Amino acid sequence: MRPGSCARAGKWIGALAREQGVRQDQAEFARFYQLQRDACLRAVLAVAGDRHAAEELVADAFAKAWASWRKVSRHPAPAAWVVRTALNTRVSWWRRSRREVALDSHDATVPEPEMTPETGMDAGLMAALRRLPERQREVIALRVFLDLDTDTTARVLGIAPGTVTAHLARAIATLRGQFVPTPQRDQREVRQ
Amino acid sequence: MKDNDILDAVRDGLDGVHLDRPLETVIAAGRSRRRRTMAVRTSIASLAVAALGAGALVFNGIGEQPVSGGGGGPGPQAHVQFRNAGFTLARNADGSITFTINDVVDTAAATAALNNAGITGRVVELDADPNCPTTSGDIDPTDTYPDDHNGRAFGNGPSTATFRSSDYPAGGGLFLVVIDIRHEGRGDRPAVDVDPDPPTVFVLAFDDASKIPTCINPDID
Repeated sequence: MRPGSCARAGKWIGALAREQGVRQDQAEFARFYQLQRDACLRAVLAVAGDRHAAEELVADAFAKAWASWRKVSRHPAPAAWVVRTALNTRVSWWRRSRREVALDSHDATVPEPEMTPETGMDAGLMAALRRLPERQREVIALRVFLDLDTDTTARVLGIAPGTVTAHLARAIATLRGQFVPTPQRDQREVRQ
Repeated sequence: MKDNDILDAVRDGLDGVHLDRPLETVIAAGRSRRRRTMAVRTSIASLAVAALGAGALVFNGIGEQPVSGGGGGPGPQAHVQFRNAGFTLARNADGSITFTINDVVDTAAATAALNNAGITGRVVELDADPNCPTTSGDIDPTDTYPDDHNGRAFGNGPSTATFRSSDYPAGGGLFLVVIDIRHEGRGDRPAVDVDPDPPTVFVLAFDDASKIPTCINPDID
């Protein structure tokens, strides 16, 4: 073997291993994205209330997840990481827009959800969710759309498990007051 | 209606909502973000060099026994205080402390070892938590010590730094930022779009230990 050929072979093997690693990571991330993207969007939408903004936030959060995939993939609930990141970014957007439009007293208002069937949203449900405090909406988002248990929800939100239970109970009580049973929609309908 | 019926109704209400963004678009955005992060990491590393150029103090620890980076461990005159969790912390003959990155640093263990060695401060990894609200641009130079420098370089090499408690005023402390662009190539996860540069530790002294950030992200947004 000529001098230097070992080093070249080593570099080649290293490059091959990196390429293979990229492919493995990408395949793993692709599975995660396909599996969780809708749930994450629904969770963020339930909190943010704005379909367009939620879509941008979630896509951005998934991009961040891919940028830090080594860390995110080891997170106990990667989908919750995406949702938490999207919601944190939403707060940043809000702060930024608040600075930019300091003279506008109508900052931080969440636009009314689009009430068209094309958006895939139940307009009555969105209206009901908007009446809940933000923390209750976050608990609903994680428990219902990501199917997280109480302890994981508590860890993601940085609150006690008992607080999660209390928020969920209050949210359900509020929503119950706005839901009326009907035979047409599987015994449920949202009061407009 | 039972509680589960309410929650089912909520779930069903958004059943028609789908994220149609193609995977390729998301991956391209993530890759672009990672490249920007890399650029910022490079610029932060340049900050240390700039500090040197501006006449900032350089601490070579015991001087005659510099510590090699990337796993070499401390020199023979140093007493190893801690060698675990990806780093080495050693007390030198002159009482100074040398911190060396050997592998992926467990920053919590490193902070504990640092504090046990009598140094007030914290060790964090740049960009370890993408949700961290503090960016490198948020550090007010007037909070660093001394105020007329952006920072002081404590490095003996890119992966090692030597310091002592007299390097910050009473009530102050040190902020050790581990900048590790190799991390994505470690273990069973080969590198993704990153160069195998050695990890770097960048040290800032603060006037007030309570102002030392608990985490730090590159200022890229």
